[in-house]
Amino acid sequence: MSEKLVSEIRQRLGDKVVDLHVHSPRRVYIDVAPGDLFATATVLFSGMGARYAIASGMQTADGFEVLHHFAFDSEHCVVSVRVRTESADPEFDSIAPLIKGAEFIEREMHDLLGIAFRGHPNPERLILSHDWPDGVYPLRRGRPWEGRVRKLI
Amino acid sequence: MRSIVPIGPFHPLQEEPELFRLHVDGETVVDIDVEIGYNHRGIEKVSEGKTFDQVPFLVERICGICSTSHPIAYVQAVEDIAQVEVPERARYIRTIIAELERLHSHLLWVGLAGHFLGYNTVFMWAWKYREPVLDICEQLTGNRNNYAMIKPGGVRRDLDKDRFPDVLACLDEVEEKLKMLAGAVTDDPVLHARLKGVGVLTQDAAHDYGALGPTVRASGLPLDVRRDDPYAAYDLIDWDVVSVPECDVYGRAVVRVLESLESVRIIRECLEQMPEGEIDANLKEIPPGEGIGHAEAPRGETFHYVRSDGTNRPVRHKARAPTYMNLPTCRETVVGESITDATIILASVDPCYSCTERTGVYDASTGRKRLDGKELVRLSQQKTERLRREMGR
Amino acid sequence: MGLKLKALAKSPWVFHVSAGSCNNCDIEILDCLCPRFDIERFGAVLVGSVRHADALLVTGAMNRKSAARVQKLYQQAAKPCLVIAVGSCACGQGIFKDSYALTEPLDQVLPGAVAAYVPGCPPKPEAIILGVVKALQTLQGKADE
Repeated sequence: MSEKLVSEIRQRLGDKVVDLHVHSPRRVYIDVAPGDLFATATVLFSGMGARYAIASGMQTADGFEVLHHFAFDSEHCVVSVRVRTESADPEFDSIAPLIKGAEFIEREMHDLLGIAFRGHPNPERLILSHDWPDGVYPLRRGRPWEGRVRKLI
Repeated sequence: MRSIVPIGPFHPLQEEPELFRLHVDGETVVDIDVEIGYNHRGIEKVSEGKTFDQVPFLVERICGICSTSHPIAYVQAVEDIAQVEVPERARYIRTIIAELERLHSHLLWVGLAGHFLGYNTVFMWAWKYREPVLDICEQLTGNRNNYAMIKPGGVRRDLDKDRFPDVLACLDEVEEKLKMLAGAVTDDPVLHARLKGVGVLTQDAAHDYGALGPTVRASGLPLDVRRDDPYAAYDLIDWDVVSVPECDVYGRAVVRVLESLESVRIIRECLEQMPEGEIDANLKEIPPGEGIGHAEAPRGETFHYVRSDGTNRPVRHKARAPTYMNLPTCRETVVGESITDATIILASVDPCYSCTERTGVYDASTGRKRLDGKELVRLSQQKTERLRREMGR
Repeated sequence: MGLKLKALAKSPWVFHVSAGSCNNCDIEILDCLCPRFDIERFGAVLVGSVRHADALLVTGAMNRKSAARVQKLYQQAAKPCLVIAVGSCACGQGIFKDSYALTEPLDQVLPGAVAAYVPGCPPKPEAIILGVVKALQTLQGKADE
């Protein structure tokens, strides 16, 4: 059931698609260049009416990546859009101006991974406590808070 | 619930951080700030230190009331990586546990909504009828909450068919009460006056925010992971997605009551149709890769993403509860409404019950705090009283 | 258990606060008020202000944002106010121990204040009631029970 969907996505995204991997009939992963992220999100969310499910960021062996997960509920498929960077100070375009549902998760990825989102309407701290020091990103490799955060509040 | 509430323009805990800050002009909410992080326990990082098999115990404790939806979503993400088939009997067992949870979760919500609206007998009544459901959970799994039933590849324990007659008897009783409740909700003019047209979430706004669960199904969008990406036994049995076009708090209440009745139906079918057989695919190794699993929790889609590097621990585990998407919709549903309705609107997306008490009301022009969460509940209860008197009930 | 509660000289007034809990314990606490367990029979009341409370039921693993609130609340309580740690998280942070998002366990956030630990994940309402009764009885000098 994802074949029709996949060909429609390929057609609408054109050469923005750097790589497209069909993991299973209900799971598709698309790699795009960071510069094409906003346009890709627009196609999927506004153009094709996909539901925004969430994003997941992570530190990889050679940098950082963010996956934005879009659910095509009526086609029984989740399409995840990946952007990568090798920078030690990762930054991507925010898709929150387009999708209100992305506002929280981009703030959270900044809190926990130190990924910045250009153009976010409200880039304030979201879930870490007010006394948590800047620049300590708990989801990065290792235990970066050790020795830098007081245990007692 | 009897309680002593100090009412006044100045509250001694004024500097306390709040989940919701309502900015008001007179009686109208003109803006709302949401601050989260009060329950942040760093679960995703803790997960990286656990083996794939240990993680279900961890994620079961993300949320007490959507408890089993998290392990179900997580193990499906792992099964997605490994592309493994879960045995049919295990799929039925997962369904039964998930629907029992939906049942007692929705009853909990009905009780809380009753409390916020000033129907305290409804609170007591709903929580009384939760108890037999929790008893059944304990009989079948060993615990009232946190069932420890789900594992990658299947379930941990089988269900004892000698207990099924008790389960069916309990379901009969709960179904009877739910039907009474459905009738009460649809027939009560005071409830209609309180809930209809209140806290409206349009379809466009629901799409914008990625709203989920009963919240979105009450806005005429029949999104339900059980139907849209069937898992467990949902594609093996006959059931219906419940959706209404109302878009308001009334609609959200109706959806929860009606889908509780669907849950009863689903559990009965599962008990009847469940085949004998294996309950575990005996998944030994997770290959490198990534997987996504989602499940329809009582509040909406629970979404898990797992990355594996071929070792026995996840290298990344993203867990997203439904309330994370539903909570921000309050910007659409509460702004423009009266503070007397704020509590029930905030409660209508079914966040953690204690969260709605962490609310503060601030005067939009002076910034002074006027009310706290408990006082807001009182205003809501008083409004119902007033309506009852006016309508001669 | 019923007789024990009746033996309390004063009806216990209880305030509940969560400091980063999954809400399971909080729900089981509320369950104590509901028809099956019904502690209101014995005059036990869940009060809306900590200033009126004999006992402070605390749940949660001590998330950094919430733990400060617990400290403030305890300071405002009229003493003696017995703190009862409800649930494995409040007792010792449970499965979340060592998480970056938490501060110290409850009995170090409120040193010397915790009168009873009710472990369980979540503890059953019967266990919670028993914990409250045992703690309150220490107030009446019945330390042996």
